[in-house]
Amino acid sequence: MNIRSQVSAVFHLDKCIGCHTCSIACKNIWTGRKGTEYMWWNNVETKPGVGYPCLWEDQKKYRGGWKERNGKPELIMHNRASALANIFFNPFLPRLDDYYEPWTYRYGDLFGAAEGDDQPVARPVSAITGKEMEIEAGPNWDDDLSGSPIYAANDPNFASLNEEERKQFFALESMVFFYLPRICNHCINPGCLAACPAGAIYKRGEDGIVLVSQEKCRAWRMCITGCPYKKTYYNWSAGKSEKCIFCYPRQETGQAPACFHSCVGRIRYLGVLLYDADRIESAAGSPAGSIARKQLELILDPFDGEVIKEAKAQGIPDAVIEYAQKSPVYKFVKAWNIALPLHPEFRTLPMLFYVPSLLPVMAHAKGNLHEVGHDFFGSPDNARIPIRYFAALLSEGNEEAIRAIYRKLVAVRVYRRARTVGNIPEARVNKALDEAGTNPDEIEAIYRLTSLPSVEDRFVIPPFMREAAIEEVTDPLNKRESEGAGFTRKPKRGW
Amino acid sequence: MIMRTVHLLFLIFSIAIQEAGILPADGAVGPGEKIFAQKCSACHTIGGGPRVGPDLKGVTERRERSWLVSFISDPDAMFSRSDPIAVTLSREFGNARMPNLGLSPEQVNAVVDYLAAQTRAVVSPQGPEKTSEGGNSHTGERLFRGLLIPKNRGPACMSCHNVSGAAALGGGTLGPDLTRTYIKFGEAGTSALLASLPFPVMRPIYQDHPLTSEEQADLKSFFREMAKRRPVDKTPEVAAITGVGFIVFLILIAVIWRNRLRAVREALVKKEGPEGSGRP
Repeated sequence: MNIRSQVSAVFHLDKCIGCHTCSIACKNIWTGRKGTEYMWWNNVETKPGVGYPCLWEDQKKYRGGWKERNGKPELIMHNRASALANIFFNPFLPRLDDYYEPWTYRYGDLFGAAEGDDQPVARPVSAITGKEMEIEAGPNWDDDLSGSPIYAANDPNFASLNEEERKQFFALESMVFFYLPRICNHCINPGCLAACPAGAIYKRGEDGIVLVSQEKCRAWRMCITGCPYKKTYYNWSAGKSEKCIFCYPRQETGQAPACFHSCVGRIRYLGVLLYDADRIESAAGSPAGSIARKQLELILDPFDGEVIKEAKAQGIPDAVIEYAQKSPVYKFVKAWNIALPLHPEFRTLPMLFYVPSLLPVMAHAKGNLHEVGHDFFGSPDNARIPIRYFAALLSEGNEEAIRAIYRKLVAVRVYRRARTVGNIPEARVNKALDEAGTNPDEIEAIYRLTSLPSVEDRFVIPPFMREAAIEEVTDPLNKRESEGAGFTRKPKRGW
Repeated sequence: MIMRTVHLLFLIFSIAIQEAGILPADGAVGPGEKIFAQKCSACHTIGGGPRVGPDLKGVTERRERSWLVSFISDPDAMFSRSDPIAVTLSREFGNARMPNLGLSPEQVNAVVDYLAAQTRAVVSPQGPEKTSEGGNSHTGERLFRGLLIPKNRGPACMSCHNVSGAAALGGGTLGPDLTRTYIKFGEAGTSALLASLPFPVMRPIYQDHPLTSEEQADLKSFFREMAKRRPVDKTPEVAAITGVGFIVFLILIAVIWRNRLRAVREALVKKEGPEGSGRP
């Protein structure tokens, strides 16, 4: 057992209202610089939709992530030989148009235009070239199903759905969509890291945050292809790749990442998990269909005496173990089993988990009347979104995994409705609990953490112990005695 | 025509900085003759017909002495003030310009005296050119093409020069085509050139690797053979092969990277047509 700790997250999709506040918070802090105009380290997509960049989930096009060979993961994009052959030309890069060309408006024209018969208009101009442009796409262009015939209809997750099920998404009365907020997953087995020829990408040992060293990056841009989630971006001005840094400077000072902190729907939960690094390869290389299960098996029980003993022996600080026990992510993912990683079939073992959304109940036409939820929430298979769609998104097509989560989410609603409204018979409540395999205590806990959590409940940020991490590579006293406290880097002229 | 001009300019520049004569100095000759042999004879003859520059027999009668002196002393000045005679001559000889030879006023006078004396002489000092039959043209060709390494390990002529039929795509193009060298410079001129290779580009290359006298004879014999041919310009063939090669290269790239990622969003919009793009 090789125990590591990782700061990870859960996004509760039922709570996301698609307001993009998280994206704006991130943009304001991190990607307002030249060369980063088109980047959205955090973005919110409408599903069904093609997302950002366009069709990022289609690895036949983008070649991101891993495939399995002899029980081991292997990058899809290249092996050693083809990496060398394509070193000066990565043939699988998205174009700017596949992200979108960022733009602004010439607002000055509204005030400075010469007097005339017509109202002045602020023309859109490219934020990169400054030239006038026609806006044809944006990072959330298919928001709320806009442009459906082009964008939503081409959602790669429709592959497993039949024609009728696809139509159901767009038919009046049954029309449905939901939001999928995305940040870097800070994967256990990152494709970007493995693809980097310069060794510039690393996963921090103490908290699992995946970072691109701006000093080592040599702009080969292999990480952009290697990441199946397209969450590394190339800064055309700096000539370096950049990605979500999980707001580590905020976390190190005890604050939640900006996108978490600003989330209006309070859908985001953050906490530390312990996992076994010895089993990464076998999990990432496990046969299709079992990857998500194997990944969840990697995550260790922080209450298990054996795990605690081993973690302490391997130098995991006591405080981190304590925070792992309080982690809301552990509860959602392991204790309650209602959160799953996004597209586990990419085999990067992403450490960001999603609770699938239940979505509004369907209305059934009965003569002239529409009856809403005649069997409260009905069976999971009557859900607005076909089970198979979420299965394609979160469980490699394993519909039973989604059904199990739905049953539990329905049980929470049925139980709580019986408690607060009281119009559901006891037998129906007990049936829901039995089907979900849960009990009132667990239901209450899920309810409290879903609906009534405080900031401290949602963000259980472990102490980052940077001082301890730094001491592993440098002795601060050493520096004090020889160089003083003021400099960390040698000046060019010498000391 | 352009090649010819370049050829002439090469020769002229080379002579301009030439410090050693290409003909051995004879103790019995006067200073004017010696200077003529060293500095002038590569381009001019006296009664031997025009070469790179005009035949100088009778030049002292055709031109005034003062004009001759100032032209030989500083030809550049004459050209820059567009002296009508200098300009006409230059045009006549393929836009070749006589270089500044760097002679002192005494040396200029000595040369002009020598030219005057030769003009007055009843018998032409240079008889009709003799054709020496020495040298093996086959060996010369092998030397030219680099199949035979010269004794002093100088580079093969073909590295920089072409002759008609030397190779499928011709020889090098840095130097001029040498097919008609023999005709242009004649027996004596070719001998003199092969002996000293006085061109500014060639001199440093062959300085420590001179051609032996047998090699010079073989090459001269080769050039004599070549003079019967017509120079052939291989440029169209080379251009065509380059063009075809480039297209093949592009096709190869298109094949090797045929699975590369192309426009994703544009393709979607194209596939679905302009309706429903979500734009008003």
